[in-house]
Amino acid sequence: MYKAVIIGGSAGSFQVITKILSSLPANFNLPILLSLHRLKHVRSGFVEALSLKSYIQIIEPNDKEPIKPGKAYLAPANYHMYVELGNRISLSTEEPVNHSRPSIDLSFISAAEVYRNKLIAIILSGANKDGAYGIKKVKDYGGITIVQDPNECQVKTMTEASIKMTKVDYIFTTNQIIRFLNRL
Amino acid sequence: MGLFTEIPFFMNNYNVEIGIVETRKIISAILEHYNLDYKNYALTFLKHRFEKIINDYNFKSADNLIEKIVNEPEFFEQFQKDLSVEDTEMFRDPSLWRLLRDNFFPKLIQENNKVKIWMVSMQSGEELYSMAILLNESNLWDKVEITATYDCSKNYELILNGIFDTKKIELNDANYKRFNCYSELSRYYKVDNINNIGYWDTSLIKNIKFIKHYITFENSLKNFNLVWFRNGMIYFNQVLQDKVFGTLYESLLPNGYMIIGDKETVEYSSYNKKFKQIELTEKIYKKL
Repeated sequence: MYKAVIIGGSAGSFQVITKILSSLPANFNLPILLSLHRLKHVRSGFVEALSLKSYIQIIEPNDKEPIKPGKAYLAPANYHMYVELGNRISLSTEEPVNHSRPSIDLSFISAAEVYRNKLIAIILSGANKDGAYGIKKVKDYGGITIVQDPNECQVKTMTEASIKMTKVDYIFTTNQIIRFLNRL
Repeated sequence: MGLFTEIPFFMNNYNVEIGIVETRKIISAILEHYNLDYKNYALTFLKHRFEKIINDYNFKSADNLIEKIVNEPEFFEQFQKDLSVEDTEMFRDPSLWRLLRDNFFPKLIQENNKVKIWMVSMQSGEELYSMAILLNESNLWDKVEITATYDCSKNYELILNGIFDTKKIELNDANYKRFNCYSELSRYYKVDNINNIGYWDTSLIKNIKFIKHYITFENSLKNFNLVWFRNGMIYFNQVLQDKVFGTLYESLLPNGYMIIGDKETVEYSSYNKKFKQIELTEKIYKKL
């Protein structure tokens, strides 16, 4: 019944993402959107690193790339990543939001507007507040909201800001997130 | 609103939010009063952009914005500027610029006596000044002829006067270092520290010919060896992208080249088979 999973993360989230991706089966049947803060000028290497242990194909989409189940779409360096009507990726070089491009807020808001209550949104460890407003919008549209347990995070700022901004559905450890996704 | 007023841009400070219905309403008003059609722009982008403008000007609603657009042509000009994405940087994707300098241009110049380049729909000066610096440092001006088009007069004035926002200096300097580690970008600009405005050496662009032109609905200019349009089409939907790829295709001489943004592709357009990507990691296409 769900249409997509979106994950936002920043400092301290790389290992968590890697663990989540490596724990999902190759036939996982939802698209996964990854909006992660990363170095602006380093275009290559990130997908390769994430792909090492993942059964799911991870791509840095081109603009207007169709969104398909069973693939993970990593926001490219130095672009914002939106979900466009018609279930395609749309990219933008607009000014950074919360000092970030990609901005987690922008990705989450556009995904919330397109997928509404059929979206699962997850905020992981991170060092700024980007994502907190985005996950609120997901909640407003009736989507499922999950935040990584701040006690487990390397950097708590992002998760704590999210919990403060909205009454999220679940505060989960990495293992609980993995179990949740595998039961979908 | 000043030239580079620092607008606090935190999403959670947005007082007014709009939906798809209101976004379409604004598009209709612009079409009706100015005969400019934004219908085939990427909708999520436009919605976010309208929302930002409404909040930056402290408007109460989409209707408020429409009223202002319809009744004040001067505001509409500023609105067009606010709508355009000028947030690029000098030597964005330094690997592309190095490739142009070391391989692409030397080959292109060998193939043609005079290389004619069209830089499409410039919203700010970064791409133009980067190109001019490359041509300067490689001593290529006598072999190259650049036509630059713009659609927003306010942006054109800034380009012509070489004005840029100093908050990008660090980033620009770093990008330039990745392009040319033997020199400093600061050779090419001056800074007014009191007003936080940077000024490019405008003699860099003295040989560039400027023309006002709307890429979304005007006919193509003709007879170019290279057409350059990076990260402009990402703001269009597929219908408009297809049309613009057609315009770019028509503008090129046989065997001409097209350079687009590193995450843009012809793959989803009907021109997929009419261009061939010639570099693995950069979006340089050859007209077939």
